[in-house]
Amino acid sequence: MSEILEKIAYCVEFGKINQQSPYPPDMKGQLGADELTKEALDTGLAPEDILKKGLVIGMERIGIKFRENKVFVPQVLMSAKAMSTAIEHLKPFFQSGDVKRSGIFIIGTVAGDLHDIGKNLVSMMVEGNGWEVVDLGTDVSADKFVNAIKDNPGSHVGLSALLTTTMINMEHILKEVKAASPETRVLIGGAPVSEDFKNKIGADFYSPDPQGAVEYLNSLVA
Amino acid sequence: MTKKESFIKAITFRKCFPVPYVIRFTIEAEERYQSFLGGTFDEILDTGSYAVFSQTNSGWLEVRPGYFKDYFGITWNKTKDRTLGIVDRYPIDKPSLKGFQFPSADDLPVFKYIERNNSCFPDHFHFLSIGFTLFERAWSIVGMENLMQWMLLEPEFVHDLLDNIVEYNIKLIQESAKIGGLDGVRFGDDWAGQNGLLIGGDLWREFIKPRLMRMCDAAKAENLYIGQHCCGKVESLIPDMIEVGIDVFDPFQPEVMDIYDVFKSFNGKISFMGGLSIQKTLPYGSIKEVSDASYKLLDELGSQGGYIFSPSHALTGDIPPENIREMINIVRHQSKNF
Repeated sequence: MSEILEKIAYCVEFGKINQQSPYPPDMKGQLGADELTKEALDTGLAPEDILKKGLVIGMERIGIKFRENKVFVPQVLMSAKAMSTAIEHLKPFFQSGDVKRSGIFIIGTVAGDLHDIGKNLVSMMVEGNGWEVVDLGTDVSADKFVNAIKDNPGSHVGLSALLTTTMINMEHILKEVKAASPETRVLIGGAPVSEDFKNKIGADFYSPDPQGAVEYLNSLVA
Repeated sequence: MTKKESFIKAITFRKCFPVPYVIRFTIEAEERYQSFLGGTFDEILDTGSYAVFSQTNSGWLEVRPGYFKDYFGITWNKTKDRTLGIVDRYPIDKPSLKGFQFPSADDLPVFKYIERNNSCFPDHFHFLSIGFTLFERAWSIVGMENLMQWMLLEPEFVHDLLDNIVEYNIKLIQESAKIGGLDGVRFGDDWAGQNGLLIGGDLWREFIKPRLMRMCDAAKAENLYIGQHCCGKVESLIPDMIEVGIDVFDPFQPEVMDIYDVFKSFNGKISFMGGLSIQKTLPYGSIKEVSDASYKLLDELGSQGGYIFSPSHALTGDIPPENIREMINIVRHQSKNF
């Protein structure tokens, strides 16, 4: 990996957004993901390489640390912020087709449930790993998921729930999604969700942490 | 021995029979169970619970159907989850307290609940229950993601925000204690998710712990026992909770910690309330599984002192009433076998 790509990965991993940002304290005054991404583009590095060999590597590292309880939600949020700031520089290349996303991931908290922190974390991690994310928000009905799949052919779906009382709505949504689009993979997650529950309702994948969802999605396009 | 005396005996690590217990219902669960019984049902009287809770999460003003304004003026959407709800709109979206008015703790609806519980349940252990105590109160004002980012980017603001909340809580404890009749204060703050701490131990010790200690000191000054509710995998903070003076920890979730191992490690230093799974055993287990899990808790933990039997949260609406009935029957009719 080139030195600047490693620096970009490091900034994302440690949540260094830009030079002005006071966080992390030991990188005060140093360039952040924002400036380094621009610099990398200016020096002629391929946008695809900046994404896949710089930014995504940083997000992957923070995702693994989060899974291992070595960092926590605030640090992940900072990494996601560094990532999204840097991605702004790559947007023209996404639009022109020079940089391709890994795929499209549709996510939402299931009908009856208004909680969103878990969903948002998964959304940030998946997006930060090179996927386009369509976030349908909270209290999402089966119809909304099905319509979003129709609008985004080839996409995969993530269902989130915080409570046992709303987790049961995953089964109905899963059935509707599979009826409309059998090839769509459905991932489930949330505090009360388990591998047993996944098997019971027939979902494709369960992960207790966001990085698991990222790794599963990446395996689909490997 | 009154229920209050039994409760105190248990949380001060003395063996107590019957093992004191607390059973609480969400609105949805209470309605379902009442319908199952085919008559009226009172959460305190008909379960035989040993503690009553005068809650700051009650007495909110319904500003439009399903939306309630809490003591801090924050509107909660309870159209889906009628017991907890979620914040409809966070009043602060920039790291500044300018224009935000913290409430006065001079005259609050909870004071009436304290008087009522004193009158109706003089023999029960009586908690002042401060829902959304500190961390949760802070994110209810600024949003969870903002709060967590600002802990890193704008720490002075977060310290200021939390200090203001603590001042309010201390005044609330003092004013409540003046009414009399309280035995304890219970703080409610979820610091963890299913897999671990939300903000990690370092940030928790920087932002939360010193303030939790101040609130504990204020409660101890009023001769109140202190309960701490915290959902999630929070085992790593138990030594800190002991250090600041927490007497009883709940909900003691078996899904996120080995409750028997935790009990063994900390018995005599902090007592535990909870333990019967509301994520697995109660909603999805058979009647026999509920029975087995209940007896195991009573026999192995209740027999030692330092334990209050309870589901690992207020009962939820998806729990079969038959399972609830079985649990209540077991705890109401304990036969000593230890």
